[in-house]
Amino acid sequence: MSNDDALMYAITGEQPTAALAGTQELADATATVTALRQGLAALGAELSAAPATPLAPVVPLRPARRPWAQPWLLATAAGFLGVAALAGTYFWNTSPDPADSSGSRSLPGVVACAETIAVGDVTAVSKQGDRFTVSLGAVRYLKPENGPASFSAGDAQLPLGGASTAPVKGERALLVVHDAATGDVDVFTGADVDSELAWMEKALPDSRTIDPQECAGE
Amino acid sequence: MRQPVHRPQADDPPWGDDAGRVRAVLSMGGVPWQDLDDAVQQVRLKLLEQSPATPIANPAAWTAVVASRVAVDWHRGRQRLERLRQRLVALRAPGVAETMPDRDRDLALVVAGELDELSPDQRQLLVLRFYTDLTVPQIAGVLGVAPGTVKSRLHVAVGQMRARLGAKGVV
Repeated sequence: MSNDDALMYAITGEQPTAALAGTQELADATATVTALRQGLAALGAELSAAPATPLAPVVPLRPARRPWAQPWLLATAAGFLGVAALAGTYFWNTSPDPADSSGSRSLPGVVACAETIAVGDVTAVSKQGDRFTVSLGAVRYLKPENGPASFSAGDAQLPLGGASTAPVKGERALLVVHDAATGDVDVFTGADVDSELAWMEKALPDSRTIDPQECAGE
Repeated sequence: MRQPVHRPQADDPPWGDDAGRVRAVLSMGGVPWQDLDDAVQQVRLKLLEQSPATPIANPAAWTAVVASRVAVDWHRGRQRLERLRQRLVALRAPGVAETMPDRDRDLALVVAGELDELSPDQRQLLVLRFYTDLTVPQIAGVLGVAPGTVKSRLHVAVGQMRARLGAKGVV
Protein backbone atom coordinates (compact mmCIF):
# COMPACT_ATOMS: atom_id res chain seq x y z
CA MET A 1 0.00 0.00 0.00
CA SER A 2 1.25 3.46 -0.81
CA ASN A 3 1.31 6.67 1.12
CA ASP A 4 -1.07 8.07 -1.46
CA ASP A 5 -3.63 5.37 -0.81
CA ALA A 6 -3.29 5.81 2.94
CA LEU A 7 -3.79 9.52 2.57
CA MET A 8 -6.95 9.02 0.57
CA TYR A 9 -8.41 6.73 3.22
CA ALA A 10 -7.54 9.29 5.87
CA ILE A 11 -9.14 12.06 3.84
CA THR A 12 -12.37 10.21 3.12
CA GLY A 13 -12.62 8.51 6.49
CA GLU A 14 -13.43 5.24 4.81
CA GLN A 15 -12.68 1.91 6.40
CA PRO A 16 -9.16 1.03 5.25
CA THR A 17 -8.40 -2.26 3.60
CA ALA A 18 -7.03 -5.07 5.73
CA ALA A 19 -3.64 -4.61 4.10
CA LEU A 20 -3.55 -0.97 5.07
CA ALA A 21 -5.06 -1.14 8.54
CA GLY A 22 -2.48 -0.71 11.27
CA THR A 23 0.32 0.36 8.95
CA GLN A 24 2.66 3.24 9.58
CA GLU A 25 1.52 4.83 6.32
CA LEU A 26 -2.04 5.00 7.54
CA ALA A 27 -0.95 6.29 10.94
CA ASP A 28 1.08 9.05 9.29
CA ALA A 29 -1.74 9.98 6.96
CA THR A 30 -4.24 10.02 9.79
CA ALA A 31 -1.91 12.24 11.81
CA THR A 32 -1.75 14.67 8.91
CA VAL A 33 -5.50 14.86 8.60
CA THR A 34 -5.92 15.15 12.36
CA ALA A 35 -3.45 18.02 12.48
CA LEU A 36 -5.29 19.69 9.63
CA ARG A 37 -8.62 19.31 11.39
CA GLN A 38 -7.22 20.63 14.65
CA GLY A 39 -5.53 23.52 12.90
CA LEU A 40 -8.68 24.50 11.05
CA ALA A 41 -10.74 24.17 14.22
CA ALA A 42 -8.33 26.41 16.12
CA LEU A 43 -8.20 28.85 13.25
CA GLY A 44 -11.97 28.87 12.98
CA ALA A 45 -12.30 29.44 16.71
CA GLU A 46 -10.05 32.47 16.56
CA LEU A 47 -11.71 33.89 13.49
CA SER A 48 -15.18 33.25 14.88
CA ALA A 49 -14.35 35.05 18.09
CA ALA A 50 -12.69 37.96 16.33
CA PRO A 51 -14.39 41.32 16.59
CA ALA A 52 -16.52 42.23 13.63
CA THR A 53 -14.77 45.50 13.08
CA PRO A 54 -11.44 45.52 11.27
CA LEU A 55 -8.30 45.49 13.36
CA ALA A 56 -5.95 46.22 10.52
CA PRO A 57 -5.83 49.58 8.77
CA VAL A 58 -9.07 49.90 6.92
CA VAL A 59 -9.06 50.10 3.17
CA PRO A 60 -12.03 52.14 1.92
CA LEU A 61 -14.89 50.03 0.72
CA ARG A 62 -15.64 49.93 -2.94
CA PRO A 63 -17.71 52.88 -4.05
CA ALA A 64 -20.01 50.61 -6.01
CA ARG A 65 -23.60 50.31 -4.93
CA ARG A 66 -24.22 47.61 -2.44
CA PRO A 67 -27.85 46.68 -2.84
CA TRP A 68 -27.79 44.53 0.25
CA ALA A 69 -26.86 47.56 2.31
CA GLN A 70 -30.15 49.27 1.55
CA PRO A 71 -32.21 49.62 4.73
CA TRP A 72 -35.32 48.18 3.18
CA LEU A 73 -33.49 45.14 2.00
CA LEU A 74 -31.83 44.60 5.33
CA ALA A 75 -35.20 44.88 6.95
CA THR A 76 -36.59 42.36 4.52
CA ALA A 77 -33.67 40.09 5.16
CA ALA A 78 -34.17 40.37 8.89
CA GLY A 79 -37.82 39.57 8.46
CA PHE A 80 -36.96 36.41 6.65
CA LEU A 81 -34.30 35.16 9.00
CA GLY A 82 -36.48 32.28 10.01
CA VAL A 83 -37.26 31.46 6.43
CA ALA A 84 -33.57 31.29 5.66
CA ALA A 85 -33.29 28.09 7.61
CA LEU A 86 -35.51 26.59 4.98
CA ALA A 87 -33.39 27.87 2.18
CA GLY A 88 -31.46 25.71 -0.17
CA THR A 89 -32.19 22.87 -2.42
CA TYR A 90 -29.45 20.79 -0.90
CA PHE A 91 -29.92 19.09 2.39
CA TRP A 92 -28.55 16.21 4.22
CA ASN A 93 -30.62 13.52 5.80
CA THR A 94 -27.64 11.60 6.96
CA SER A 95 -24.92 12.35 9.42
CA PRO A 96 -21.37 12.74 8.08
CA ASP A 97 -20.90 9.01 8.13
CA PRO A 98 -17.52 8.03 6.72
CA ALA A 99 -18.84 4.64 5.74
CA ASP A 100 -20.88 6.18 2.97
CA SER A 101 -21.17 3.51 0.31
CA SER A 102 -20.69 5.87 -2.62
CA GLY A 103 -17.30 6.90 -1.32
CA SER A 104 -15.91 3.53 -0.45
CA ARG A 105 -13.47 2.97 -3.25
CA SER A 106 -10.61 5.28 -2.41
CA LEU A 107 -7.97 5.83 -5.07
CA PRO A 108 -8.97 2.96 -7.40
CA GLY A 109 -12.47 4.37 -7.31
CA VAL A 110 -11.29 7.75 -8.54
CA VAL A 111 -9.55 6.09 -11.47
CA ALA A 112 -12.43 3.70 -12.16
CA CYS A 113 -14.94 6.50 -12.27
CA ALA A 114 -12.87 8.85 -14.40
CA GLU A 115 -13.84 8.83 -18.06
CA THR A 116 -10.44 9.68 -19.48
CA ILE A 117 -6.97 10.01 -18.00
CA ALA A 118 -4.37 11.17 -20.50
CA VAL A 119 -0.95 12.71 -20.37
CA GLY A 120 0.81 14.48 -23.20
CA ASP A 121 2.17 17.74 -24.50
CA VAL A 122 -0.14 20.72 -24.72
CA THR A 123 -0.75 21.69 -28.33
CA ALA A 124 -3.42 24.33 -27.82
CA VAL A 125 -5.20 26.20 -25.05
CA SER A 126 -8.27 28.37 -25.34
CA LYS A 127 -9.77 30.31 -22.48
CA GLN A 128 -13.31 31.21 -21.63
CA GLY A 129 -13.71 32.96 -18.31
CA ASP A 130 -11.77 30.97 -15.78
CA ARG A 131 -12.17 27.77 -17.75
CA PHE A 132 -9.96 26.32 -20.40
CA THR A 133 -10.08 23.93 -23.30
CA VAL A 134 -6.81 22.07 -23.42
CA SER A 135 -5.59 19.96 -26.33
CA LEU A 136 -2.88 17.37 -25.93
CA GLY A 137 -0.64 15.72 -28.48
CA ALA A 138 1.64 12.71 -28.17
CA VAL A 139 -0.88 11.36 -25.78
CA ARG A 140 -0.43 8.43 -23.49
CA TYR A 141 -3.66 7.10 -22.09
CA LEU A 142 -4.13 5.59 -18.71
CA LYS A 143 -7.83 5.31 -19.23
CA PRO A 144 -9.17 4.11 -21.57
CA GLU A 145 -6.20 2.03 -22.58
CA ASN A 146 -6.04 3.63 -26.01
CA GLY A 147 -7.30 6.71 -27.77
CA PRO A 148 -6.61 9.18 -30.53
CA ALA A 149 -3.17 10.74 -30.90
CA SER A 150 -4.59 14.11 -29.98
CA PHE A 151 -7.10 14.72 -27.25
CA SER A 152 -9.01 17.78 -26.12
CA ALA A 153 -10.90 18.45 -22.90
CA GLY A 154 -13.09 21.48 -22.45
CA ASP A 155 -14.23 23.48 -19.46
CA ALA A 156 -11.17 22.46 -17.49
CA GLN A 157 -10.25 24.01 -14.18
CA LEU A 158 -7.07 25.87 -13.60
CA PRO A 159 -4.11 23.74 -12.52
CA LEU A 160 -4.67 22.62 -9.00
CA GLY A 161 -1.17 23.14 -7.72
CA GLY A 162 -2.19 26.56 -6.53
CA ALA A 163 -0.98 28.10 -9.75
CA SER A 164 -3.08 30.76 -11.34
CA THR A 165 -1.88 30.31 -14.87
CA ALA A 166 -3.22 28.09 -17.59
CA PRO A 167 -1.06 25.43 -19.18
CA VAL A 168 0.96 26.70 -22.10
CA LYS A 169 1.70 25.21 -25.48
CA GLY A 170 4.49 22.66 -25.31
CA GLU A 171 4.03 22.04 -21.59
CA ARG A 172 3.47 18.52 -20.35
CA ALA A 173 0.05 18.08 -18.81
CA LEU A 174 -2.17 15.46 -17.27
CA LEU A 175 -5.88 15.67 -18.02
CA VAL A 176 -8.38 13.86 -15.85
CA VAL A 177 -11.89 13.95 -17.24
CA HIS A 178 -14.23 12.98 -14.43
CA ASP A 179 -17.39 13.87 -16.32
CA ALA A 180 -17.15 15.42 -19.77
CA ALA A 181 -20.87 16.15 -19.90
CA THR A 182 -20.60 18.57 -16.99
CA GLY A 183 -17.14 19.88 -17.80
CA ASP A 184 -15.73 18.16 -14.75
CA VAL A 185 -12.07 18.13 -15.78
CA ASP A 186 -8.84 18.59 -13.88
CA VAL A 187 -5.56 19.70 -15.41
CA PHE A 188 -2.21 19.04 -13.78
CA THR A 189 1.08 20.52 -14.89
CA GLY A 190 4.65 20.70 -13.64
CA ALA A 191 5.63 18.36 -10.83
CA ASP A 192 1.99 17.53 -10.21
CA VAL A 193 1.91 15.48 -13.43
CA ASP A 194 4.25 12.81 -12.13
CA SER A 195 2.95 12.78 -8.57
CA GLU A 196 -0.66 12.43 -9.70
CA LEU A 197 0.16 9.96 -12.44
CA ALA A 198 2.10 7.80 -10.01
CA TRP A 199 -0.81 7.04 -7.74
CA MET A 200 -3.20 6.69 -10.64
CA GLU A 201 -0.97 4.06 -12.24
CA LYS A 202 -0.77 2.19 -8.98
CA ALA A 203 -4.52 2.33 -8.57
CA LEU A 204 -5.22 1.27 -12.14
CA PRO A 205 -5.20 -2.55 -11.61
CA ASP A 206 -7.59 -2.36 -8.67
CA SER A 207 -9.77 0.11 -10.53
CA ARG A 208 -10.53 -2.59 -13.10
CA THR A 209 -12.22 -4.66 -10.43
CA ILE A 210 -14.77 -1.94 -9.82
CA ASP A 211 -18.03 -2.20 -11.67
CA PRO A 212 -18.56 1.03 -13.64
CA GLN A 213 -22.21 0.79 -12.69
CA GLU A 214 -21.12 1.77 -9.20
CA CYS A 215 -19.98 5.08 -10.59
CA ALA A 216 -23.51 6.31 -11.07
CA GLY A 217 -23.33 9.85 -9.82
CA GLU A 218 -19.64 9.53 -9.13
CA MET B 1 -27.04 6.79 11.84
CA ARG B 2 -29.53 9.24 10.53
CA GLN B 3 -29.69 12.80 11.58
CA PRO B 4 -33.14 14.16 12.22
CA VAL B 5 -34.41 16.46 9.52
CA HIS B 6 -34.55 20.01 10.71
CA ARG B 7 -38.06 21.38 10.80
CA PRO B 8 -37.59 25.12 10.72
CA GLN B 9 -39.33 27.27 13.22
CA ALA B 10 -40.34 30.84 12.72
CA ASP B 11 -37.61 32.13 14.99
CA ASP B 12 -34.81 29.95 13.61
CA PRO B 13 -31.63 31.91 12.99
CA PRO B 14 -30.28 31.67 9.45
CA TRP B 15 -26.78 30.76 10.53
CA GLY B 16 -27.49 27.70 12.57
CA ASP B 17 -26.92 29.84 15.67
CA ASP B 18 -23.39 30.74 14.69
CA ALA B 19 -22.71 33.94 12.80
CA GLY B 20 -19.08 33.71 13.91
CA ARG B 21 -18.72 30.48 12.00
CA VAL B 22 -19.91 32.19 8.82
CA ARG B 23 -17.27 34.85 9.29
CA ALA B 24 -14.67 32.15 9.93
CA VAL B 25 -15.53 30.30 6.73
CA LEU B 26 -15.42 33.53 4.76
CA SER B 27 -12.11 34.44 6.33
CA MET B 28 -10.58 31.05 5.69
CA GLY B 29 -11.71 31.45 2.12
CA GLY B 30 -9.61 34.59 1.97
CA VAL B 31 -12.28 37.29 2.00
CA PRO B 32 -10.49 40.45 3.13
CA TRP B 33 -11.31 41.60 6.62
CA GLN B 34 -12.70 44.95 5.52
CA ASP B 35 -15.05 43.15 3.11
CA LEU B 36 -16.38 40.68 5.64
CA ASP B 37 -19.56 42.58 6.42
CA ASP B 38 -20.38 42.79 2.72
CA ALA B 39 -19.67 39.12 2.28
CA VAL B 40 -21.84 38.20 5.26
CA GLN B 41 -24.68 40.12 3.67
CA GLN B 42 -24.14 38.26 0.45
CA VAL B 43 -24.39 34.98 2.29
CA ARG B 44 -27.60 36.16 3.89
CA LEU B 45 -29.06 37.18 0.55
CA LYS B 46 -28.06 33.94 -1.12
CA LEU B 47 -29.79 32.03 1.64
CA LEU B 48 -32.90 34.09 1.11
CA GLU B 49 -32.81 33.51 -2.62
CA GLN B 50 -33.15 29.79 -2.26
CA SER B 51 -36.45 28.04 -2.51
CA PRO B 52 -37.95 27.33 0.89
CA ALA B 53 -39.67 24.22 -0.42
CA THR B 54 -37.30 21.71 1.10
CA PRO B 55 -36.40 21.32 4.74
CA ILE B 56 -32.72 21.33 5.59
CA ALA B 57 -31.32 18.67 7.84
CA ASN B 58 -28.28 20.70 8.75
CA PRO B 59 -28.75 24.46 8.38
CA ALA B 60 -25.31 25.24 9.79
CA ALA B 61 -23.60 23.04 7.20
CA TRP B 62 -25.66 24.51 4.41
CA THR B 63 -24.82 28.01 5.52
CA ALA B 64 -21.13 27.11 5.55
CA VAL B 65 -21.44 25.81 2.01
CA VAL B 66 -23.02 29.07 0.88
CA ALA B 67 -20.33 31.05 2.69
CA SER B 68 -17.59 29.01 1.04
CA ARG B 69 -19.12 29.72 -2.37
CA VAL B 70 -19.27 33.43 -1.65
CA ALA B 71 -15.58 33.31 -0.73
CA VAL B 72 -14.64 31.58 -3.98
CA ASP B 73 -16.75 34.01 -6.00
CA TRP B 74 -15.13 36.88 -4.14
CA HIS B 75 -11.78 35.93 -5.60
CA ARG B 76 -13.14 35.40 -9.07
CA GLY B 77 -14.76 38.82 -9.05
CA ARG B 78 -11.99 40.79 -7.40
CA GLN B 79 -8.82 38.85 -8.04
CA ARG B 80 -7.36 39.57 -4.67
CA LEU B 81 -6.51 37.46 -1.70
CA GLU B 82 -5.89 38.43 1.84
CA ARG B 83 -3.08 36.70 3.60
CA LEU B 84 -4.85 34.80 6.30
CA ARG B 85 -1.73 34.42 8.37
CA GLN B 86 -1.23 38.17 8.51
CA ARG B 87 -4.77 38.65 9.66
CA LEU B 88 -4.33 36.11 12.40
CA VAL B 89 -1.22 37.88 13.60
CA ALA B 90 -3.16 41.15 13.62
CA LEU B 91 -5.92 39.52 15.62
CA ARG B 92 -3.36 38.56 18.22
CA ALA B 93 -2.27 42.08 18.84
CA PRO B 94 -1.95 43.09 22.49
CA GLY B 95 -5.29 43.45 24.12
CA VAL B 96 -6.95 40.66 22.21
CA ALA B 97 -8.11 37.91 24.52
CA GLU B 98 -6.13 34.71 24.48
CA THR B 99 -8.48 31.88 25.21
CA MET B 100 -6.69 29.07 23.44
CA PRO B 101 -3.73 26.90 24.40
CA ASP B 102 -0.43 27.93 22.86
CA ARG B 103 -0.17 24.71 20.88
CA ASP B 104 -3.51 25.31 19.18
CA ARG B 105 -2.61 28.92 18.49
CA ASP B 106 0.65 27.85 16.91
CA LEU B 107 -1.06 25.21 14.83
CA ALA B 108 -3.69 27.69 13.70
CA LEU B 109 -0.97 30.07 12.59
CA VAL B 110 0.83 27.38 10.61
CA VAL B 111 -2.36 26.18 8.95
CA ALA B 112 -3.34 29.76 8.13
CA GLY B 113 0.01 30.26 6.43
CA GLU B 114 -0.37 27.09 4.42
CA LEU B 115 -3.93 27.92 3.40
CA ASP B 116 -2.51 31.12 1.95
CA GLU B 117 -0.56 29.01 -0.52
CA LEU B 118 -3.60 27.16 -1.86
CA SER B 119 -6.04 28.21 -4.55
CA PRO B 120 -9.51 29.41 -3.49
CA ASP B 121 -11.04 26.19 -4.78
CA GLN B 122 -8.64 24.09 -2.74
CA ARG B 123 -9.33 26.15 0.37
CA GLN B 124 -13.02 25.63 -0.14
CA LEU B 125 -12.63 21.87 -0.30
CA LEU B 126 -10.48 21.73 2.82
CA VAL B 127 -12.87 23.92 4.77
CA LEU B 128 -15.93 21.94 3.73
CA ARG B 129 -14.30 18.58 4.45
CA PHE B 130 -12.28 19.26 7.58
CA TYR B 131 -13.87 22.30 9.17
CA THR B 132 -17.53 21.91 8.27
CA ASP B 133 -17.10 18.13 8.31
CA LEU B 134 -19.11 17.32 5.22
CA THR B 135 -18.55 13.94 3.60
CA VAL B 136 -17.09 13.59 0.13
CA PRO B 137 -20.49 12.74 -1.43
CA GLN B 138 -22.06 15.72 0.32
CA ILE B 139 -19.38 18.06 -0.96
CA ALA B 140 -19.76 16.63 -4.44
CA GLY B 141 -23.50 17.25 -4.23
CA VAL B 142 -23.26 20.87 -3.18
CA LEU B 143 -20.50 21.70 -5.63
CA GLY B 144 -22.14 19.84 -8.50
CA VAL B 145 -19.14 17.67 -9.31
CA ALA B 146 -18.49 13.95 -9.13
CA PRO B 147 -17.33 12.45 -5.82
CA GLY B 148 -14.25 11.21 -7.64
CA THR B 149 -13.43 14.78 -8.51
CA VAL B 150 -13.71 15.86 -4.91
CA LYS B 151 -11.49 12.99 -3.82
CA SER B 152 -8.89 13.73 -6.43
CA ARG B 153 -8.78 17.43 -5.61
CA LEU B 154 -8.72 16.85 -1.88
CA HIS B 155 -5.89 14.41 -2.38
CA VAL B 156 -3.84 17.04 -4.15
CA ALA B 157 -4.60 19.76 -1.61
CA VAL B 158 -3.99 17.60 1.45
CA GLY B 159 -0.86 16.19 -0.15
CA GLN B 160 0.49 19.69 -0.50
CA MET B 161 -0.47 20.56 3.05
CA ARG B 162 1.19 17.38 4.30
CA ALA B 163 4.45 18.23 2.62
CA ARG B 164 4.44 21.73 4.02
CA LEU B 165 3.32 20.79 7.50
CA GLY B 166 5.96 18.06 7.48
CA ALA B 167 8.65 20.53 6.51
CA LYS B 168 7.64 22.64 9.49
CA GLY B 169 7.70 19.68 11.84
CA VAL B 170 3.99 19.79 12.56
CA VAL B 171 3.42 16.21 11.41
